[in-house]
Amino acid sequence: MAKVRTDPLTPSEQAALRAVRSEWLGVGLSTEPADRKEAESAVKDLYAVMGWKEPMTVWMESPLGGCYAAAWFEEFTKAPSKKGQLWGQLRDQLWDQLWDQLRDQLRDQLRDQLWDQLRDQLRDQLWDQLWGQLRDQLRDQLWDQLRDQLRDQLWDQLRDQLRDQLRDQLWGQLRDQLWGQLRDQISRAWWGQQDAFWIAWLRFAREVGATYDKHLDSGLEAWSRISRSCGWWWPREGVVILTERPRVLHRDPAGRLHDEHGPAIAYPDGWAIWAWHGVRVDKEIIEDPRALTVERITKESNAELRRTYMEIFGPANYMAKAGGELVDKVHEPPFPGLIDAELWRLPNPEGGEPFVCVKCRNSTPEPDGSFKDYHLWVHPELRPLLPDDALGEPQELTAHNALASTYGERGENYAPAVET
Amino acid sequence: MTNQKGTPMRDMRPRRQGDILLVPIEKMPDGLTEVPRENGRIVLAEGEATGHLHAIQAPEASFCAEDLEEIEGRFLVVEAEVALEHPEHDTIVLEPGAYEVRRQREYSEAGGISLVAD
Repeated sequence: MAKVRTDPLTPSEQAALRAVRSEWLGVGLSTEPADRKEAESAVKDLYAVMGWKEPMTVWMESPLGGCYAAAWFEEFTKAPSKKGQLWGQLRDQLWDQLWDQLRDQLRDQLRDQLWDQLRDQLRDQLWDQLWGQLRDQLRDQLWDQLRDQLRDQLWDQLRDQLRDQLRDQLWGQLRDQLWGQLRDQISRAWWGQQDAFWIAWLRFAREVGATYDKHLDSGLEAWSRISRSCGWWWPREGVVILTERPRVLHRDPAGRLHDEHGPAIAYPDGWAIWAWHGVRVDKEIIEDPRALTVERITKESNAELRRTYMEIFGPANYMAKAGGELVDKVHEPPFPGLIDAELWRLPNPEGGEPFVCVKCRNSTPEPDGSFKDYHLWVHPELRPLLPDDALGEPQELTAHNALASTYGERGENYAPAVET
Repeated sequence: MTNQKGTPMRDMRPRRQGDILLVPIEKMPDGLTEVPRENGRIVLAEGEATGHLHAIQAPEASFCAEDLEEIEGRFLVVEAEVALEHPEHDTIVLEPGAYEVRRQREYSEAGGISLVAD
């Protein structure tokens, strides 16, 4: 194993690290049309490095399209007796589109061939080995330092933006949309441009002295080129499914997916995600102002979505329209979590016990310095909410007691040492 | 906090990170099962709308459950200082010791008590 150097990162290397970060952030956020020629050529190189037969290529217009195509191939290669209902649906939906692309390439013998999932092989034989070699070189002090730098510069910033903001959102949306078998295809994808943060890390380590075996190095190179030129992709034996990059990608200044008027991400085939400061919402919430009503906000069971709706609707507007009455407001918070906490009581439109909610604030500010306010429903008598649907004894109606009750505590026992 | 001999005195007040409350306890209950790590991390909770995790990367902690099928009844034991991280909340450093892991709950007239989902 190469033993490289022991001196710390030089200022010019640190500058290079920042440059690598911004270069690969650009790759990860690109909305340029895929560079199809380059992607296909890089895939060929990668298959060659891996010792696989050159694949034919299929292009789809979005990750959703890619999932369908991946499932199509999965079903296509099954024996007729094993083809299920899914096959019928996929065939009808995709046959024309895929057949146009494949008829010149598809030959009868392919039908009988085993179309292995190559993803696992790629992971085991290229990915794990690259990381293994890097890890072996990351042991002494310089490498600790390098790792810390990379973590700050690449991991925190690139990963959070590309993986957490983009990939997880795309993934979540697909997970909601696709059923059973088709869902499996999501986890078999490689993320193309959104792999940028891994690749940047592996590449920068190499620039300052890490070395990889020659074939792994060639693999990393081909991989980097794929990442630079297209969106998600699915490697299979004999065929690779490549997809387009988004045409629209809008974010707030903190880097979270956000658009107040239209989709935050949209692909050429129309598949899109609507998001409000990083929270995925239905299209109508963004595009139809009438969609958001007091009732819809009240009934939303997901607290993060409810908070988002409340922010869009305006909490004062909501309370006014819902007939809310302010019961308690904290003026001298005994701990930060109670800053500006409020207890509200709302009439129940169906005539039952009133709704009571506590407004509390995230202790960690948002990147722009603002704070997120959550409205959480509590028992009308502020009974502590215990496991197994059990309730504690009633408490005086204060915002402090209400917040304590959400953690199953009474107000007098609730004063956290740390809150973030 | 330390006393005069320099032995740490444990602050028994709870620690809160968003919808998670860690309540220091004297010792771990008996009969727990370790919750497997996900990609090397302990995941105390995951937000479904944002995909954000409350997670501990360091190896010096174990996350245990009375029943792996249940979200309630979970405990954390920390051997040496570890960082509890979440993309939207500041990191909390947890001192060694045992903790009960509580999730924030909400009340609904119709549906009883549910965990705060984010």
